Amino acid sequence: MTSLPAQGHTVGVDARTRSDASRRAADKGFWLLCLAVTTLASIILAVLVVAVMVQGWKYLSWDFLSNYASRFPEQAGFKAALWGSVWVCAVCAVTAVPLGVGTAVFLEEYGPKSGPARKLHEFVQLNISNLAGVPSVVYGIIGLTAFARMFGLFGPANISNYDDMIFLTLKDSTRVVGPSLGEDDTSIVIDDIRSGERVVSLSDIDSRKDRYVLTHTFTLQDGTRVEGRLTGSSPKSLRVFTGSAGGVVDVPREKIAGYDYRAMIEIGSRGTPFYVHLPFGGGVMAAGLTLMLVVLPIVIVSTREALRAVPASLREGARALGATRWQMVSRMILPAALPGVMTGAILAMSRAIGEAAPILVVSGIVFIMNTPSGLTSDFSAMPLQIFSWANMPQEEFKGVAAAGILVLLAVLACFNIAAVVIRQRLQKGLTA
Amino acid sequence: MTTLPTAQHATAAPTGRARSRRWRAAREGVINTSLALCAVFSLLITVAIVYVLATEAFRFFQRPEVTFTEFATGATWQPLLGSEKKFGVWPLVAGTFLVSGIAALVALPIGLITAIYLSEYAGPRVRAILKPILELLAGIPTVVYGYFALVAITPGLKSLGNFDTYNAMSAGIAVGIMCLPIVCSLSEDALRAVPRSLREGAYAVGGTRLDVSLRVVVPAALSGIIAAFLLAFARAVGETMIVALAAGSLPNLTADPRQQVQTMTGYMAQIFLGDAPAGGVEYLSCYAVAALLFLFTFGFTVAGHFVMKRFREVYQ
Repeated sequence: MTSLPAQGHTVGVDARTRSDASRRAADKGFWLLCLAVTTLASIILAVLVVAVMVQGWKYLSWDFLSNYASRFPEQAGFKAALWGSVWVCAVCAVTAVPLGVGTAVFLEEYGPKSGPARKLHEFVQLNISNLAGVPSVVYGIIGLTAFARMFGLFGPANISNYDDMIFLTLKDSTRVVGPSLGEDDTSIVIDDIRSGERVVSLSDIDSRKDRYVLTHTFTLQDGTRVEGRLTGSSPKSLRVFTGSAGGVVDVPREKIAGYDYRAMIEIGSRGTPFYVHLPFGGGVMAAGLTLMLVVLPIVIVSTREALRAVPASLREGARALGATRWQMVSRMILPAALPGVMTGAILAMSRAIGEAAPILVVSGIVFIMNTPSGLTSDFSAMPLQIFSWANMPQEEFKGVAAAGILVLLAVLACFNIAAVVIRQRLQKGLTA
Repeated sequence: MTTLPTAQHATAAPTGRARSRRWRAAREGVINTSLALCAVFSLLITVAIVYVLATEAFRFFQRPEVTFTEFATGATWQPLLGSEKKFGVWPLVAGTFLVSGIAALVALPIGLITAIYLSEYAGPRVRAILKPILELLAGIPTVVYGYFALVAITPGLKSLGNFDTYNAMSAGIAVGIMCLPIVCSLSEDALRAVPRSLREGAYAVGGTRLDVSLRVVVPAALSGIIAAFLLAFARAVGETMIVALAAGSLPNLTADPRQQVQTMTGYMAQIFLGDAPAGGVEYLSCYAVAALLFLFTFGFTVAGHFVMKRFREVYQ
């Protein structure tokens, strides 16, 4: 068989047929190419890990995990970013998992056979595959507008910026309004908008309100109105940033005839974990919800796969016993699919914890020295902190960034190990 | 059938079973509705994306210093220079496609060859090693790839030639590595979906593995492979952190990969890092750029899914 085509070649009957030897050589050559390329992929991974290890190892210590960010590379720490990521991912998980599982159950178990509901189904499915392709930075912009600024419904919040103002009514019924300059047990120093710095004794105060003010409106004696945020003050005047209208205006204090403000809506008391203000600003809540948008398609797709893997016999059995659809789903199918659902949710969270672009857009780089205290606190997240370190001009901070990467990769490894363990439980469960 | 129990209800005291049945029906209704609302929420996200991008981009074009013609045709993007602001988007688009093009040149051949190897050549033991490595690569956050570009790829390139500290090549290679697992796993899915009978037929007439792979399996899976390419390209176009770290921040209409460029995503990152005032024209320009980026990635994703769907119709 092998000699025949070779003979044909020599005679030149079929010039298109290559000899067996050359075909085998090509096959071998391609196999070698494949090996080389796949080895390359493994080498890339190895180089990546080694490069990060070498750079980051000496900065990795217990202090690195327990210090806050610093201007000095030796003292720079990851604590704020670590806890920020925990808070943001908690918000993301609490919102994305129920929504994603609900959507997947609706698509898989509540499939209508015909009519407009069927069209809705098909449209939702198409839509989810498109949502998965939207770049995360675009989600960031949507999150900024929808969550951080809430479409400007509650005032033109400039991301997380607001003025912390104190409104005092004194016992002689005069009113004092301004940012606090300091407080102690007996008095408050306040930068009153009309009279400037002023010490108010606590015993003179009749009532006190604290407000986060989004915009101030000053009516001057000549009737003009200035609306904006305070950016600074001098004894004689207030410096007001008017946003889009054209920059900074100085308002002389003695010319202020009237004052009005738009405050944030506050729910709960400040300092408690569930304290929330509207709009959310660039805090934990807005960032967590934005990440929810990013990972929602992943949760939906993985949950659908887990639901599809549940044998049809379970559904038929439940239906035959007269279970309603929800009884079937909640007592048979979801428990059977739970390991798969959880694996998908964990992998979605590992995507969320590594996402930097949406958080960058919603919150910007925040240099903070404390961990979040509530749902709308400012925060920093691990990938964002790594980005800002890697972006610094000093070479030492590259090492600090590498140490941050090591911590982030360790957290991701824990997530992946958890997913693998759960997946193996699943396989055992089905074979038993 | 439905009237009977209610008639009984009206006359006699409801039995326990009837009450529980009614309660059950109500509960089913509530659950149905809330599940449907979950599904509708995903539609709302799309609506919100289109609404926000469209209205804010419209506000951008209404600004006196901006015209749509300049945006669509201008070759200078200079939003931050006080008096002489220029909003011609082409440098950003060119930067985006330069970086994504380099990424495609890295990811497509390597991804496809790895996919062919995994699907047609590799035994189960090799697969057991390679698949987790690819999954690991897929799970690495993009900011880590950006760091990798900055500390490993860029110094390597600089030792080879006259590269800038920030350059399109370094970012492109890192984006390519990031896209590699996507190309590979989607292409492999397409290759594995080709029916065995085609392979067996090709082997029966004396084909080597290379003949079977390149002349039978790859052509049969071509639309799936093209879909994989398109989806990976959409990811490359939308990638932000790698280009923000490694590509530079100078909008530059060039095809020279040694120079620094700014991509659409890189521009957005720069503006939001600098805390541009809300309502300012630079800030609004981000929405116009995001709208354009959304149109690009949406186009690639839809094209990818369209091609993939046609492929599925052929073999399933």
